[in-house]
Parts: sequence; C-alpha cells; structure tokens
Amino acid sequence: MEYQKAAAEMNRVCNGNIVAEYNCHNGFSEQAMIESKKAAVQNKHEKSRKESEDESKLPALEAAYNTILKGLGENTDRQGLLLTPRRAAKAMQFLTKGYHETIYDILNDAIFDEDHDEMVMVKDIDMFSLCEHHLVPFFGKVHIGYLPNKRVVGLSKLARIVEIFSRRLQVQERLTKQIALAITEALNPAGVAVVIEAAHMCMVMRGVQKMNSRTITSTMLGVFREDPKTREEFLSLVRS
Amino acid sequence: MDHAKQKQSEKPPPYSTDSVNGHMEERAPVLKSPNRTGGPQVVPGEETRSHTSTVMESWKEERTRSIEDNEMNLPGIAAAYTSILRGLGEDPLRQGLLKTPRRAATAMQFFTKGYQEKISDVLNNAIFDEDHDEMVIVKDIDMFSMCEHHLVPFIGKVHIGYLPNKRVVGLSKLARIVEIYSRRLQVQERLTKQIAVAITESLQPSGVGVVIEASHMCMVMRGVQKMNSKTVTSTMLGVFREDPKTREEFLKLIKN
Repeated sequence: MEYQKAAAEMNRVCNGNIVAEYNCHNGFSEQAMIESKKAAVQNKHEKSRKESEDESKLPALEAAYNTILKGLGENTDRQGLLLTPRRAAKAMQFLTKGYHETIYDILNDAIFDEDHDEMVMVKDIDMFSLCEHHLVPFFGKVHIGYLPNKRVVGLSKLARIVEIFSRRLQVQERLTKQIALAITEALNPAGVAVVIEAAHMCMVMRGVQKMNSRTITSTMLGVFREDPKTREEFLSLVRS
Repeated sequence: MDHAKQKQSEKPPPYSTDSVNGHMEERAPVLKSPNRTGGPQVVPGEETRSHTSTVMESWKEERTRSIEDNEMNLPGIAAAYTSILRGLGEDPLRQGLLKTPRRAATAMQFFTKGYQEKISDVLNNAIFDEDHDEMVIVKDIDMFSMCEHHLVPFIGKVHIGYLPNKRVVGLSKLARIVEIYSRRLQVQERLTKQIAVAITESLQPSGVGVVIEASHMCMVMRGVQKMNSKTVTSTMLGVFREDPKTREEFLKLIKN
C-alpha cells in the first residue's frame, strides 16, 4: 500500500500543482524547486513496485487476463491462447517496469565535472509508453537538450531517464515534464528542454482513428524558457 | 464462450468440392511449406485431408458476439482491469486512472469487434457480374490487430490482389474483410490466410494474392526490442500460386 501511494505521488509530481509555479524570472521558481525536491526525496528512497514482488503478483494478473479473454468471447482453451494470460501479464509488467526504478539508482555514478557551457542534445530517443486512460501503447521520439552548469551527465543516462518514466502508465504531458524535472534535479543545469512527438494508438486504432496524427509536447526550463534564441537553437537542431 | 464451444463441436461443414483452378488442392498443403515453383500441389492422402479440414475449418467458425454480449461482459472485464492496475503497483483511485478500467475494457472490445461480424453480412450485396479478367489490386490497406500471444497490437498494411472470374466485388468490401479478420486476437499468418480464403470462397476468382507487412509491438516494445523489424506474410491461391508471371505482376504492382 505504501508503494501504491508513492506511485501516486510520483505520478502527481507534474500535475496541476506544479505547473502553476513556473511563472517567474529565471524559469525555476523557488516553489517548484521545493516541490521537485520533495519528489526527489521520495524518488531517492521509494520505488512504487519492487522487482522481487513481480513474481508473486503474476498469478493475480494471469487470472485477470483469463477473465478478460473469456469476457471477449474467446475460447481460452485453444492452442494459441493457452499461455496467453501468463505472457500478457509478463508483457504488462515489462511495459510498466519504470515503477521499479528510481533516478538515483542509475544516475549517481555518471555525473561528471566538465567546464562545458554549450548545449548538449540527445535526440531521436525511441520511446514506448502506455496510455493510462486506455492501456494502449503510444510511442515516438524524445529529444532532450540541456545547457550544463559545470556538470555533465553520461549521455546514455538521458535515454535511461526516458526509459524509467516512459515504462509506466503515462500521459504524454506528464512524461515530458517528469523527464525535464529529473534532469534538472540531478544536474542543476542552466536550462533543460525536452520535446516528445508520439503517435497514440488509442487515437489511431480506435476512437477517432486518425492514422497519421502525432502529438507533440515540450517542456522548457531555465534559459530555454527565458531566452528565445537558446530555445530556437534547440528547436532548429531538433528539426534538422 | 458458449457460441465458440458450440461451433467447435459441430461437424465441420463440407467444403465445396468446386475445385476451380486448383483451390481444393491448394488447401491441402497448409501443413507443409508450400512449394512455390509452380504447378499445383499433389493432393495428399485422406488422413492429411481430414487433419487439414480441422485446421482450416477454424476460419469458417464465424463466431458472433452480439452488442448485448458486450454490454453484459463489460463490468467483468473492467473489474479484471482494475485488478491488473493494482497488480502493477498503481493506485486505481487516482484521478487519471479512475475510469481507466472501463475505458480499457471498451477499447479491448473494440479491438476484437471482428468477432461480432460475419463475412456474409458484409459481402452479400456487393458482388457484381462483370466481364473483367484482369488483375484487381487494392493496396496499402491499414491494418491493426492484436497479437493473441501477448495481447499487444501489431500494425501494418495489407495488399490484396485477385483475378476475377466473371464476378467482381465492391472495392471497399476487401477492406472490410480485412477489418473483420484483423479486429481479433490474431496471428499474422492466420490472418493472411483467412483473408485470402474468404475472398476465394465468396467470389470464386481465378486467383487471390494477399500480402501483409506489419510491425509487431510485442517485438518492438518488449522482448527482443528491434525497432525497425517488419514481418511479411503472404498467401497465393489459384493462378497466383501456379503462374509465376501473374505472381510477379502482383508483387511488382504492390511495391512502392
């Protein structure tokens, strides 16, 4: 139950409460930093789901998937579906494995002191996540840029941050913000920018069924928010 | 559930012995790797034939689920999703997840709505007698299906070609056949074959070719995680199987 609350907390970090705080001078308001530090403390010590518990949760998930298959009118004894509840349960656990991990597990070693103050970008990071409203995948690319302030991070760690937050039940807006906040928290850079463009299967496969539509969200913090030229440099490098 | 069980215990209806252009022979090698170098396959013995019939009959079991079934089953499926959310470590009471079980259940019912439809309903009106005997191709039909092994989507394009034999079908009906069979828990190989056999059965054309290329989220998002891999399956029946030139014309025309 504790871990469930922690999950709720982590997922609420970027909800309405925080967004209101970012109307200030240098892109990082005091309030926002306090909020994100609170989240960080939780991030440091609590995971919403422990990896060791996955095995024990499997039977309940399997039973649930069995009910779903029967409810859809399928014959659960046919050869193709015999092991499907187990496979689907494991797949779902894999697709939400971001709940296992915290930022500080992966980041603590790879922050280096470098006297570098030019933009660093990692773009076209493939991202796969699950829409929390329909439990249907959405996937796309993440582009991250930051302006270091004496500290740089190992490049693959940016991709790992994306993995941690995307392998959850997510909303694209919140995902973008969580990634940006995590980088801010860990590095204290002069600015961070995150752009995600994704295709949502809940819109493509069902509902309004628009095949080619893409959703783009972005979060700009620090100098990326303050200084239009920096933001433009980042955006033109993303586009190129 | 009852529907499905009933249909499976029924004696499989005899298929038509109308072996137009080798269609009957073409069905037999379902269990072997088809020999594509042209010429119809040698029809194997009776035992294999009856085994084949069990394998092939599954496509004929047009299980129908009704709207009422959907409504009745929705609460059960939604409850199952709630327990899945809990089992994953999420809090089903937080704002974003409050109505998720119901939405996910409805979405899943939509993704399997192929079980609610029958080929005969979709096709009966739109078969026309035309004196046309050149290839007809409908390509780049977007297809979205669910992998029956992991309950994760696979998405791609279907290309269908057929050589009419005095009877043509409305073009959108080909896309509707794709919809009926793809909106189910599927395996790409079976999907390809079901589409081809459905067109064959309803139109009796000289030949049918179906090619599907799809990307499987179960391979992209998890497991081996190969982003750019695509799976291509094809079924060639009738002259498309026998005549290499016809097949080649079809394959060339669907290439971009």
